[in-house]
Amino acid sequence: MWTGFGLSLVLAFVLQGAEWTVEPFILVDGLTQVMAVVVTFVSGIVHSFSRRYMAGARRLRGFYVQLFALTLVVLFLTATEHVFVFLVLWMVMGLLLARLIGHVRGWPEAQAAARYARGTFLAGSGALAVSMFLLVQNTGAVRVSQIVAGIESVPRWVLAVSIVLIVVAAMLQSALVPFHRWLLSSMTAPTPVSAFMHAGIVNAGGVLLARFAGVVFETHAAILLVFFVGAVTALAGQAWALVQANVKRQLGCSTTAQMGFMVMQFGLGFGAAGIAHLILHGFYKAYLFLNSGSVVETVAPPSMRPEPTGWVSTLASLATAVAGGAVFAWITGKSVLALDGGSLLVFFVVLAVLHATRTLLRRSGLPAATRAWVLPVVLLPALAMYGAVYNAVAWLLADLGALAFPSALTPLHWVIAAIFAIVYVGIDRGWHHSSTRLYVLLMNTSRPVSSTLLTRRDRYHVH
Amino acid sequence: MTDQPQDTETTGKKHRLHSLKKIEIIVRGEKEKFVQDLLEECGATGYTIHRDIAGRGSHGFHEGRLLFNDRAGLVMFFTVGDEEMIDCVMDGLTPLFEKSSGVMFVSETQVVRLEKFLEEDE
Amino acid sequence: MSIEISVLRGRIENAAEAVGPLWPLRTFNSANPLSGFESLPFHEAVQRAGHLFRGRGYPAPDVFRRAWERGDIDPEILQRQLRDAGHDLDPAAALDALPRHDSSPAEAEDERLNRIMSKWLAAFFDHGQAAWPMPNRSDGFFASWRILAPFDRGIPGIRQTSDLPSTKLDAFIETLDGVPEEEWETIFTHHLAALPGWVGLIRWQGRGTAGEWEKAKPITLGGYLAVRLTVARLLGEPLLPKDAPANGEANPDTQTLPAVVLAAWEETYRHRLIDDLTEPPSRPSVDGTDTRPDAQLVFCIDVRSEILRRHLEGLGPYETHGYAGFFGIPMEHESYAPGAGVGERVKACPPIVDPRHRIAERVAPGCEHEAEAYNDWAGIEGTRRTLLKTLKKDVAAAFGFVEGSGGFYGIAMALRTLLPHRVFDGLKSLREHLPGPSSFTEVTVDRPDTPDPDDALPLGLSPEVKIVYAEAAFRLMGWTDEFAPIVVFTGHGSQTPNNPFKSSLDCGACAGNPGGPNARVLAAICNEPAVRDALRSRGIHIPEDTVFLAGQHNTTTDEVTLFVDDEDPPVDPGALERLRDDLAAARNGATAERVSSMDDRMWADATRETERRAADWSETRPEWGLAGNAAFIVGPRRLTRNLDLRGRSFLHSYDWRVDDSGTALETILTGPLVVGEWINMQYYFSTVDNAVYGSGSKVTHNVSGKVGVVQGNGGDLMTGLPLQSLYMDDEVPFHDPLRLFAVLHAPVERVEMILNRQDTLKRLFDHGWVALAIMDPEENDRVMRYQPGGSWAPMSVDEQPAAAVLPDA
Repeated sequence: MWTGFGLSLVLAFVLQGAEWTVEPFILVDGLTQVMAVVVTFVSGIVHSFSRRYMAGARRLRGFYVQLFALTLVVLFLTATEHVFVFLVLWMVMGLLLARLIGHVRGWPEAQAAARYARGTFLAGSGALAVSMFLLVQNTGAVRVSQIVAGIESVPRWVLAVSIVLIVVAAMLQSALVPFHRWLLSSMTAPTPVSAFMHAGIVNAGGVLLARFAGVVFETHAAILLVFFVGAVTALAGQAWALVQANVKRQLGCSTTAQMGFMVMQFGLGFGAAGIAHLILHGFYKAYLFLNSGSVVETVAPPSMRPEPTGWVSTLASLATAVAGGAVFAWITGKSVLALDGGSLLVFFVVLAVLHATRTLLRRSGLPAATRAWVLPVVLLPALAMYGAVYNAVAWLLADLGALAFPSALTPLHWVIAAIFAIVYVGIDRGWHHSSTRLYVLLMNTSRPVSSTLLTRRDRYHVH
Repeated sequence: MTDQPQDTETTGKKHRLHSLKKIEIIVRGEKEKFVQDLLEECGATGYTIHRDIAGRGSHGFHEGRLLFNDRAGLVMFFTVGDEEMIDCVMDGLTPLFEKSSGVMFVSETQVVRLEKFLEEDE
Repeated sequence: MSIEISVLRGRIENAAEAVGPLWPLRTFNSANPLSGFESLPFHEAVQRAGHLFRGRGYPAPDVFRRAWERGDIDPEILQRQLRDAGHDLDPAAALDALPRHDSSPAEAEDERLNRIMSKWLAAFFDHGQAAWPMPNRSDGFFASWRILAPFDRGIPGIRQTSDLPSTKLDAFIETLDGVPEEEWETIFTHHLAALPGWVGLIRWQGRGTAGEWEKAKPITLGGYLAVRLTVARLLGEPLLPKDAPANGEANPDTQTLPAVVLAAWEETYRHRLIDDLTEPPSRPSVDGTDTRPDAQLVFCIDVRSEILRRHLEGLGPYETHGYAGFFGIPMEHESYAPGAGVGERVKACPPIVDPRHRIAERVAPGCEHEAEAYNDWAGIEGTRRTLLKTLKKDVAAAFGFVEGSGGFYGIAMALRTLLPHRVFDGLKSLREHLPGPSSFTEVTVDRPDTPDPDDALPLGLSPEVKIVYAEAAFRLMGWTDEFAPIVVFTGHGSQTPNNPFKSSLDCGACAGNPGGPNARVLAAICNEPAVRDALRSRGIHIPEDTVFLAGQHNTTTDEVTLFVDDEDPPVDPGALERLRDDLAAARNGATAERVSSMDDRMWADATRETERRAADWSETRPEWGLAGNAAFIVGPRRLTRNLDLRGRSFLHSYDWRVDDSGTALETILTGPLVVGEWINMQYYFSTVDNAVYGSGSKVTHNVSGKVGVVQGNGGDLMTGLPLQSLYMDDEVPFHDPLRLFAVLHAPVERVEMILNRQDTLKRLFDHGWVALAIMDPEENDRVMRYQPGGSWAPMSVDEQPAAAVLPDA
């Protein structure tokens, strides 16, 4: 796998975003190169991690074979634009993943989780198959680029159905609301599988959207749909994460949210930002899953009172946050003043910096001098790192024009931005604590499939 | 750790005695928390605990003073209260003694300052 | 119908005996999962518990078979045991005839109930994982559930809070309507045993050691049952399912085939141990009293100490002793907190002992500079952690945070996975540049001038109690005459990252914490002139030049750290240097031995391999912990010195000659031995049924609420040890599930006297939870075996008359 990672790096350097094709099945373009580097890296980590972690597990060879096969499938998935090949790989990916979720064969709850995931993935493959059938039927082409070229000949309603089905397939794969349950029920998978799943496989929804960008982002309504689905998921996922008591489901909710954000970036016309997000989130989430055994510690019971904030510090935080946003916009070449989709992304960075600054200012234990230098020291490398990844991705994806389109801000965008701002303030002030109804709603909508819960321990088996 | 119902100041003066009941309970150290909770729930305003007591019972002899074991030693509680409170405590201990070792003794007693023993009079 | 609340309380208390308490992961305590059945004979207990929890009580047939194939079951012993038990089988046939465990895959009737309960219990028992915890928790489990229940679609018939009973008592009155009191206990037992993990945690909280969390989320078994019975009533489920195992009967046959084979396996091990102990050449010819040792080290009785002790003793004039790893100090430890913060307070004594003192770490005079450097670093580190935590969880900030931090997580992930050795080196050099609190703090052994009246536990120790603890240590170890210039009290702790079960590898006598702080306390006490004067008047003569040091044995890497200020060492620097060198050499010997038991590859540098295990975040078997434990030897070290006990024996030092009253032996038997039995039984049951009594494989663990683990998506909390702590792989156990064998070097009359006045202890032996033998020093170390009921029989096979040699006293 590390050889694969090395090869992908070499490939990316050699091709530098240029295309290399083996007609008609293989297309190695910028997207392939980006994803290959990332997928092989995470898969390499997961393979190496498993050497110790899975030591002594039964059917270990099968485990590695499946993990390796899954990696290959994902690699080829990103390296083809032949719709039938894509479709077959899509389905195989789902089946392999479901198998790994149910890696513990003798444990009925794990098998139930695998069954549920398999059902979800097959539904996704079905949706994709119907959509592909419609597109191929109406354009007579089997390659995405040809389909896009002939998109004008597709009747309006057929195109609409196809787009919706592609979006649905992406939603199922990326566990977007309301199709998040398979992911939140998948913790029967061994930890390394979860790491790879949350860092690699769920991203396939994003890859699907990117590959079919020329089709999906053809209509304004579809763009808004993708944006809306993403935004709702981002919000719901983070809200679910708030109430989770176990670490893996908390991470799962966060994945759902981040996938939502990634899709939202697509919907804003920043495909490269979406892909960059998907990569960085992959690193982040893989790390947290692999490290999920580290959460045991003593924590004092929380106090429900919101922490006091003075005007001065609020203003200082706001100023820092705006400055952070400006640096971000400068690094990523976004326009702040144009008030388009990019401004919305800057807005999220502003919120993050704002939150970091406020947290820092509230830490009274830290000397003021330290507080003053800590922030830039933390913030600047973080922004630089993001800028580097973003610009690398944008450069490699330069030829995927369909991923980048300007989007004007509609009332919907303003509403979503306002909701995020209100939720941010609300949580900071602790408004949510009074709503028991909301609490139970979040608990119940994020619960795993009940047949996957181990309530009788004698049913559990290690292999 | 003790909140003792004791009274010595009134000695030598003319005083009235009030009739109350006294309960003495001996249980294993592992049931100490249970008895404490029970006494509180039944409204005992105070009680005395003797830890590490020794004795012989149906299970054999039991020696106190264990340096490194606070569970296996015997603990004795005693407290004084009205009939209702004592009944309540007895109700809780009766099932316990079906299964665990331990004893309780209830006797008539007289106290000088009633308000020390009954919550209602405070 | 009216119900007396105190009657209810008594019935619940009785029913609760079936489920043992479960400690939170942070302070994992070993406990016998069948502790509530200890008043019964072992064989009856495993049957009853087996009915209740559907768990296996004896090793699986293939586990026996492997032991047989390894030669760990002596055919002659097995043959004799089979014959005595009335089984007409030869050993091979007996192994073939072992019954397979019949697991009952049938769906229980109250699965829905279990799911609802575990959902709310997980939310309630969250010690800081969720940013938005269950509302109104401080009102108690029943009350807070009652507010939420109307919104929970899983329960029919509740539209508003007033549809539910308003108090716990009302809930019982409504559900137990018409049920006679005699049936309550059976009903309660069934519902408590349905979720032994969560119920065990409630029982832990009932012990009153939950600290601040007690007030933040009060819960009792009564509250649990009130909710559960109410939900059962609303779901229309019977209070007692028809297939509920009857708690009453048990198979009277105690000589089942698995029981007999287990006994044969145990007897084989025990006979071999006794043979080793009584083999004359293994004993040094002299007692080693003619020369004064260079140093004496006191280790925890923990089975892991034996390996290092043996290697160290082989290297020079060293003596080692075994003592309970909390060093007899019943304390709560408050760790050093930088700045104005409050340190974490943890109980640091065995589960059967209540802490009596609080010992805090405070900056030592003259060390303010080091403390400041540490504080600065800790402040930044704390800020980093807070920032990461809050940014991860914030609804809006999390997205930007992921983008900014993702790259760094990628780098960290690669380093930790690919270069675990470097991670270890990095941590080590960080410690060297920035020594931890143990280097610049002292422990508060003295009472402060102005005691804090609010504190339940007084800070420090009174002068009288210091003498008591110091004397207890030397009396129990039977160590009254010879003291080396350096005496080290060596606590122990483990080093393992990313491991929810870290504390199960720490010192069991310190409630799952490292024992270093306790060692520091005892060393500090013993260095006080007033204490030494008092000890002298009690017959314990500590020479002027003896200095007590404290240290800590890292059981993962076998490194021993001495808590000494190197700039101003209290002992001869040369001697200290030599001791350190020999400890390092002993370490290499010990790691070579231990690593070979973990991995059959050849290791050129075993110590380096243990360092990798100590730093590798992907390592599920950092060390074997107490796996292998099978014996508890109480006696002087000369009895076991030069013997390779393969890290399977607890070793408690004891000298019968200085314990005429038997008090020391009594304390050892009622304290450390009982804790040893808990540990042994936890290893036993976690091995024989890792699903029901253990916690399953680590690879699918999911930490819930920072307090426990669930498997996969959730459900009941898992209890006991994980698979990887006990098994070589998914099938072959490393730990031999044998019951503990206590060997006492003491006269028979003294042991009998103690048994006769400690009936709980006697019952452990009578009921087969622990086996007991003595080497009677008054009878030329003749080995006698305790027979259930109170008689004694010779141990050796050659002199095996069926009749007891000594009648019941």
